[in-house]
Amino acid sequence: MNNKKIIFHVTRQYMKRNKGRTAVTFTGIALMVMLMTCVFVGKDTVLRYLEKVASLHAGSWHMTVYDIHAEDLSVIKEIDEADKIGFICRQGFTDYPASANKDRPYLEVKAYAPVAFDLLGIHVTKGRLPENEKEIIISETTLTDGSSVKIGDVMQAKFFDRSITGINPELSESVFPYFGVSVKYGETVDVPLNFPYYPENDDFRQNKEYRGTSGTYTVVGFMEPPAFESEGSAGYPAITILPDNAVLTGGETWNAVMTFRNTDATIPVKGRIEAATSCSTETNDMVLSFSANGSDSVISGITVFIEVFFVVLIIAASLILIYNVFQMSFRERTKYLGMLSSVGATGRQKRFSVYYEAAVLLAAALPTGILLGMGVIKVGLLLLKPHLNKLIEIFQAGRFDDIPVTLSVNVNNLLLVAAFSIFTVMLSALIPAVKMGKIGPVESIRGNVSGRHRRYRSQFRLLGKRGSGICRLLAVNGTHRLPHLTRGIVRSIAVFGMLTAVTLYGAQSVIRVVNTKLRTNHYLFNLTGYDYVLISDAYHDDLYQSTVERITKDSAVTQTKEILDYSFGVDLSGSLLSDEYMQAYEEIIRAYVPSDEAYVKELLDEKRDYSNWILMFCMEDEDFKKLAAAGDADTSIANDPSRPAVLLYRKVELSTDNIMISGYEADYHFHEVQNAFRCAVGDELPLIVENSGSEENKSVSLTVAGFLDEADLAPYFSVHSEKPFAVVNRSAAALIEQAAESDEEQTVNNGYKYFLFGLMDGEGASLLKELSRKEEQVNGVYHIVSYDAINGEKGFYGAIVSIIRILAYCFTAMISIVCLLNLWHSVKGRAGERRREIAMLRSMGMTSRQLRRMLKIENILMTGTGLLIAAALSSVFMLLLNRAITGWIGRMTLPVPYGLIGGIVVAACIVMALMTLVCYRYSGKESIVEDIRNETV
Amino acid sequence: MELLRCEHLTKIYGAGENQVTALSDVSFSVEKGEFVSVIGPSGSGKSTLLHILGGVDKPTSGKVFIDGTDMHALKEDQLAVFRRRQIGLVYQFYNLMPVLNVEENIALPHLLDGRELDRERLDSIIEHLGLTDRRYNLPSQLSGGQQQRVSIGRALYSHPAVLLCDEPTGNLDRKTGEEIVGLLKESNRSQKQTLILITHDEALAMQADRILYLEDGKIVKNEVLRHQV
Repeated sequence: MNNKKIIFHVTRQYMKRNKGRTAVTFTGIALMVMLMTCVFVGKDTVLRYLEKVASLHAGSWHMTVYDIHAEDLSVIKEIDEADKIGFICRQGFTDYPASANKDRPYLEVKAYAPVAFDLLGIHVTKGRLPENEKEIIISETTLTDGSSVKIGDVMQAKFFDRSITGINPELSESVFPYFGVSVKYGETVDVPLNFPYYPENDDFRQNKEYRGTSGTYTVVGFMEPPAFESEGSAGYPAITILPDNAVLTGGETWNAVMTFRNTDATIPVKGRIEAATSCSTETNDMVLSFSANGSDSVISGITVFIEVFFVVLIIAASLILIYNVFQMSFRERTKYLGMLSSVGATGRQKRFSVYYEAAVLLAAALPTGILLGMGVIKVGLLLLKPHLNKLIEIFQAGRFDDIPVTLSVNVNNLLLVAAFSIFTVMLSALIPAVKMGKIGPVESIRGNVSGRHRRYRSQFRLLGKRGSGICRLLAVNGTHRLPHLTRGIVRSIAVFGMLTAVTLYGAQSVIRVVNTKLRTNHYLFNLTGYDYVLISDAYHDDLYQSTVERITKDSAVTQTKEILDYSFGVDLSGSLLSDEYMQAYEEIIRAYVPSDEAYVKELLDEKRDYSNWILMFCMEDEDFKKLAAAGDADTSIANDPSRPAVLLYRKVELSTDNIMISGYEADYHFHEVQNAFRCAVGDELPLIVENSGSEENKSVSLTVAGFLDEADLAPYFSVHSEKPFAVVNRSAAALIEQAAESDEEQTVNNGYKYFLFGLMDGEGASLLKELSRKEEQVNGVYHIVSYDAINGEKGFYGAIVSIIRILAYCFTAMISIVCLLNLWHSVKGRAGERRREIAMLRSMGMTSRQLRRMLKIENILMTGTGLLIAAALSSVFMLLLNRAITGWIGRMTLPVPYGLIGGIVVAACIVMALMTLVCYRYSGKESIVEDIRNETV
Repeated sequence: MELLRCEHLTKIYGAGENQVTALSDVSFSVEKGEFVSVIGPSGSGKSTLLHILGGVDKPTSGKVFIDGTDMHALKEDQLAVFRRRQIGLVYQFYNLMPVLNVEENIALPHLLDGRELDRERLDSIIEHLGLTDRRYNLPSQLSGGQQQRVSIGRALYSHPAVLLCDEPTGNLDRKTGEEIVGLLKESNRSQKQTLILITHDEALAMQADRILYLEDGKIVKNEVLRHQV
């Protein structure tokens, strides 16, 4: 046996002798590996799954290239990074006599290469996919619209493109803002594919420009409405096969969809194509975001951030745990290594003993941890499945095809797990090993390794007047003068508190960023308690009123609420916007035009000098009073129904997503404005009301009753908008309507009315049927929208946020297990080393009560110190995290989860008390003599 | 005047084949102010006897009376209070609290009893023990002899009825051992401190007023060397 072998042999013997310690170290390393596996393999599994879910929306393609000309084709075909490429040739519109919808009289035919069907997620619901260029499938919307077309029908196609010509000499220009189309008298312009079919009219004429191509097709199937189908479009989508030998001729253009072997290639290839050709490109961000390669840097960034954040936290927790274990056993190790040293073991050999122990445990813990990690992922996915299913439902618009979850394991990830684990374990063992190597044999055997000879002043001042002071004295001295035992516990509590607090803060912050990014520019009614909303424009008040009356009278209706929307007709002067708002606005526009000072000034002046759109809603007076009471309002103004009053929502959210400057691009930037208004409670707020009957707008003045915060508004609205938001009472609404009144129109321009109503469970079917029939008859003058439809958006955010929340809580739970294991080991180690000391105290006449009191004070001191350190460290890390996120995204409030942090403090105290109770249960039950005799190891 | 009496003390460890009888029907008494040595070979039951007399171990049968109190009839916490008031223990390996300095260790039993610190007595004991310049040191910073002196100081500080010493010099060199025995004898003589000393060193035992010879858990000889004055 050579000298290294004997060191290893002794190390192994001591590992066997200290089964508890060995088990704790092994468990700690296995848990660390498990967590690493959860992060790397779990992340891949969840993201691959979400990719599949996301591909339900628009297909699994990574990039689409549009308008490929013949000369560009070779560039596209030679993209080495591409895994699959499918070409698409647009054939054009053709008349569709079988259509049952007079607004959709055409078929819009495209020819797909076979692979494109898969990449674009084309699913046949009846029949089969086309197999040659003579077969065709049509969107099943034609069947739901009532068409009698069936499989086997043969149809002739003569392809054309669409354009419109202005024919009204009295109309200077017909504008179609949603389609980016405008046509002047006598002018002919091409229209986009989703341009609707308009009935014959006096303003413009619709033209068919025949391409000179035609075909005969047999219908072989019907497909789910493809992602590109627009319900308002004039044609139903129809797809045939693009044969392999198809040739792209001179005047034609094709599109191509493709996937990449490695999604990292997406952005570079996109740049290359745009540089080498005149083609435009589009990336499938929904799919790519989940591999952190979307063109939206924020979503991709969040994915990377979560991964890095979790790995750093795991390494930190594991480092402390393993380091603590080695430190706690330091004295015992120094004894046996001192003995070895006295018979000739070198410092290097002593160091190797520590590394050897770490390596042996790691070798066993690595496969165990990986297998455990995979098990945890499986269980975690079971927890996530309901939320994942919700996403599937949202992406499939009501349909549901279950996607089974499968583990996504690849060698690279496992190597990463192993590399991080080895790094962490060896780093944890480094300091104890180095210290161990430096201690001489004599001091090792004596156990006097501190080498300090300071004097310790007596702490009799702690005795106080009552005898109980001795417990305080013993506790204070016990915690301060046994630092090697106390530090482990304080460190464990500090790490537990810090990591859990930082994890929860990080998770809340990510949720906030996701919310900010996904919920840009919107407001939602909080419909809790209501099932449907009747939405009516302001031009059909009589119909609205009669419908409201009908709803209110129905016995199935439980509760109602009316909200009036004046957002389209009321403006706010720019001079009433606060400096904070203007600074934020400047920050956003500088993201687009950082160096063009003149343009920045022009945009700022424009904002300040002109009126600004304000989202303005009228609540019923009772709700208005409730809002005012919840907010920072003057109730004498708010509660006076005769006084036109307004409650202003302080916050606005400006970002590069909701403020765009034509012709410029900017990286995502966000700025949350805490107070958007330059006015105070009691001030008069002048508003500009558009009057459709005259050129001149009118002014009204409302009294500012108060200001609202997010929490005040939450029972009614969720607002994430760059536009200022306000709520007015009925009196103010009457004033606005009066100002907007003209001879022709009796109401505010473009205003909407919302009537929310709830129905008794299982009742109200006849009312809904009647309203729905009427909705059809009046041709969309009003709409009945269900809670689920409005909350569809909420459901998507909700599902994403729930997934992040579950991941964060699972991670917090697992990291807590590592920390608590650490704490357990420290408390148990300390209790073990003090067994003799406690027996001594008992032999000196310490009662059980005094012992409990001493332990209680020790716990308070150690837990308090640990939590104070945790508070300090957490504050620093939270601040750094805050700086990193706000530096990256922009100014926003990242909520500190005080409630959860309070829970952590309580949990730390309870856990510490329980562990002490368990670990010191020997004191008083077992023989004092045995404990005194026992030379503890 | 009888201070300590034990009646038919028996202590059995283990059961069945592993049963070991450490003490078998031991009875004796000690007068107030008497210095008694208990001597015997290793495994004769000396330490067991001392631990039972000190109330840190319970006999299998038999009784111990100190100042008329049946020690082992007391409840756990009552016994703890009794120990800190009536018994001073000096161990071979000192058994000092590693987190308390010399002063604090000496005052510990007194303070555990909720009594106020007698600073004068503490200073006098420390000075008497020659530990003045080490009073703020932790046990780990002291030599073996110094630690044993602290241990004796701790035992004497609260005026116990009886001082029980378990091989107090067993871990010390001869010179230091003699110093320690000198301290114990002095306390016995000057303060009439009742003292029971356990040792296997016959020369040391000979310094007592009486020697009890213990063998296989039984007292085989009770030899009076000198009578108390």
